[in-house]
Amino acid sequence: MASVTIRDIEKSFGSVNVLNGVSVDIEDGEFIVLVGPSGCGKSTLLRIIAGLEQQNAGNISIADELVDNLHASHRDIAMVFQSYALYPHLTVANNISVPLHMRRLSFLQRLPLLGRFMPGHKEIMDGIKRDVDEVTETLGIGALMDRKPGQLSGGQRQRVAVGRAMVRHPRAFLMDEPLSNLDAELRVHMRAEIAELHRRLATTFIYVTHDQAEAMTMADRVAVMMDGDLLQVDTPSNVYKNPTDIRVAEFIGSPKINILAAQVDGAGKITVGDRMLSGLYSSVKGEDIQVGVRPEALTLADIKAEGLPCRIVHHENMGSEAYFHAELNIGGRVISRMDASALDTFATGQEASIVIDPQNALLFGKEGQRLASKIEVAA
Amino acid sequence: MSEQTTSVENPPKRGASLKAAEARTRLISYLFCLPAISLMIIILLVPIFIAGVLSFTDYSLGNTDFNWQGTKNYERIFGRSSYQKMLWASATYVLVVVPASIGLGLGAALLINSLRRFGDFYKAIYFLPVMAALLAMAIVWDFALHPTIGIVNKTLASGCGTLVEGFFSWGWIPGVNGAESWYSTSCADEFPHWLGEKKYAIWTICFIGIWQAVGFNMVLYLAGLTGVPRELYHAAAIDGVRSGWERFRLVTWPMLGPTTVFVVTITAIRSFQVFDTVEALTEGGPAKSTYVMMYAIFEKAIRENLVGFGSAITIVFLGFVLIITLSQRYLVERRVHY
Repeated sequence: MASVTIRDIEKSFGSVNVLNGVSVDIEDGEFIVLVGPSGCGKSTLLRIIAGLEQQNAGNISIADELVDNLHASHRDIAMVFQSYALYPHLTVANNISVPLHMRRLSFLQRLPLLGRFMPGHKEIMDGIKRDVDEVTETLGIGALMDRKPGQLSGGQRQRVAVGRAMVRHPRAFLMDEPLSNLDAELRVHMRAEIAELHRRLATTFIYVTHDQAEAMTMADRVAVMMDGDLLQVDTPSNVYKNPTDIRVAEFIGSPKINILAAQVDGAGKITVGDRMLSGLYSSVKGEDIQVGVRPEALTLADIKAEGLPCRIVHHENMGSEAYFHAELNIGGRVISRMDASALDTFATGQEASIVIDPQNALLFGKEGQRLASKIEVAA
Repeated sequence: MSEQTTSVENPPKRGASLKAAEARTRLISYLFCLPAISLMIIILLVPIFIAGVLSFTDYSLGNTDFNWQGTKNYERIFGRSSYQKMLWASATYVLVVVPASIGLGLGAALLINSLRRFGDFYKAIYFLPVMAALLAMAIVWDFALHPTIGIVNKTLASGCGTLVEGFFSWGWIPGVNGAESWYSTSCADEFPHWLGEKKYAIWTICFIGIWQAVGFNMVLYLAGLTGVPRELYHAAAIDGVRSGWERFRLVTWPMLGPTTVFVVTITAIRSFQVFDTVEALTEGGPAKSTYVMMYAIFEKAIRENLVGFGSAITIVFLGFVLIITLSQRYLVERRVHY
């Protein structure tokens, strides 16, 4: 259990910059998820924290102690790999006990045949067995102890990998896309299981994924990374509702946020196409901006309604809700998420109009930075 | 639905035609296999069978008939001292060359694998003896090991009376009499005739065998090393593995298991087959100390035209190779594939 501090980490492979000065403070016991598209540097950052990769600049400290010059084996952290990286020649029980063997037994006690005759060997081995049994019981893999990894299913391997990480009570858990090799159903299940595990262990978890659903459902805080930069670190709901950058807004949320080009007039009033967004004002006057609207903040209305005219090109029935894909008459395509009852009124091919909820519209500048907006509810 | 009904209505007819079609397919598939099977029998199995039959006779090439000898040929192999020497020479060669060349090959592969630069250069150097024809290289060794003008003995002799002798006579170790050491006595007397003395010849042949096999084993191990997942090394580092030795024991060696089984089998079979160095350098001598099986087969069956007896040695030779192959198949292979 420890806090992890990341200060101005830079890393490049040859001439390619992978991380350009990333800083984040991770609190003791926090579940932080590093999320971003592939190639954004999130895995590299995790490997630098683990000590498997050396940064070009910046510092890592664990529990307020600099660890930059410590070998991975001395940092007292555990890692779960995407491929699980279980030792294929060892049984489940032996795989889980490797970290304890390495730490508790001396060099002589670890010798292949002579080791067991060294003083103290038996007591230590009994202690290791107790700890391994405790972990396998917690994870429900007690019955698999004598199997080899090749004889296990993906989900079971995943649990063994977590068990190997848990067994020595590390200061922090690092997880590198641990669920990406599982099928969709199991992934949702393991998501809940890992979040529960975090609650029970109350240890710092640093979790890397490219799946924003994993990030949103598991994290205390989400760190969105893109092109080697950390764009925003915040709670899942803030990252969704209050993205500080258009790239964050576009990455988080499914279906994707709708981005519409808009103009601000001298008075700060915003127009999209030929429609004014009533009650919404921007501080940037007389400029072109971008308006981001989440699909649930876009509603379809009758063609005569006060909105942007459009044509529905496709609709998806999700059971409890429905997604409508619409082509705007001013150009561009948007997605609206509505209650499934809207399917009674609207269907593919129909002409309709799109109504933007100004309270939930996000304003971004031309460079993608977030702009302040002022909402005035008309009396 | 309609398909189901017809099949229920006419089951016997349909079954019969199906059976005929199946039989035809089976016949055709055998026909396709026939060329491969007959070639295999003619060029692989029949010669071995003939050798097996001839090993119980006194047949010579060119004779029209032969006499049955029973197991006399085999009794000679295991009874007469010169053939016991043959078995010893082959066993010594295999038991020295296999472990030494595998150990050194693995060591070279690990060292080269850890290099960031010049890896290809070292690979090429170590692989040179494998590419070079051993018969040609044997001539070079013959010169190098010549008792008086050879570079080996000249180099050794130039160290006499200098610090080199002082060091290698081990006289500086307390309790060791330097004057009695191998180096000092050789300096006083003469350096050995490496290929001409019974005491040294088989070891010299072994040395050349190792020199040649290391490069081949190294290449096989290098290929094996590329198959070890890098994440396992990372997992090992996180699990607290600090030293290179522990990393080797936990990850590298187990992951090289299949490679090792293959390397051991191949090297053992190649070592049993050693012939060219013996033929070029010692011709089985001195006093049959390097009289390995392949050379014995050559001498008896080809030079002396004792085909029956040569066949018996061949069958014994095949027996050894078969034992090695089967033991790798059944004893080891199961334990290295996870």
